[in-house]
Amino acid sequence: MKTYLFPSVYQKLGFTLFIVALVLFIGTLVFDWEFSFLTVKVWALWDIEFLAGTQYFAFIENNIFDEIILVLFILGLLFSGFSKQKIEDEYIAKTRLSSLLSAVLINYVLLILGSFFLYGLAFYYFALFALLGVLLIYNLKFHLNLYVQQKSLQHEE
Amino acid sequence: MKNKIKIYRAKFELTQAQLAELVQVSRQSINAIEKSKYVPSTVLALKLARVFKVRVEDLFELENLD
Repeated sequence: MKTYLFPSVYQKLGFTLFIVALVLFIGTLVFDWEFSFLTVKVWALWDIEFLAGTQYFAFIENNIFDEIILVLFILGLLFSGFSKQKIEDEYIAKTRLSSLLSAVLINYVLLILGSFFLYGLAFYYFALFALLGVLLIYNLKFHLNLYVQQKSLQHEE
Repeated sequence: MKNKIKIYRAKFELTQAQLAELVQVSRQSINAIEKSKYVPSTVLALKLARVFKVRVEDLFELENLD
């Protein structure tokens, strides 16, 4: 079975992209960062506006700052989680797979809990988190597992 | 599954790192196999047996739980 992984240099790139995305995200949330030059004409396959109605296959005006942040988050997490380790062997592959499994389970258990306990705008914010939930939890679990394995080596010396 | 990797490694005076390099895996993998945290694939088991010039059955042994 051949699985695709990014080259190992992508891991550092991934962490960097993630940090950049996090800074931009916090900046928007806390300091209301806005960049008017990012308001551009984009082509929308489908656009539903609260009062303006629905459009298909149309050019619309949109600030693409949030799109950029989302793409940075996704690429960052994909690169940091799915790039080759120094020695990519079967044990790493198993670690990867079990981290992914627990990430999917945890994410959807959280989603079930969230759908029962969060309402209105709170659920909306939570749904935003859930967009990245699997990738976030997977990255946390995978790198934590690698760290624990590395730590247990030091006891062997 | 029990294994005697640690014993054979001592007999051949190999460190975990040296054995890892001989069978082209990480030190973490050898460490996990020795602690029975990870059961290696058949390919890796055969490679380990080849290093110690024994049969796979000499290195690995089934337990009642398996």
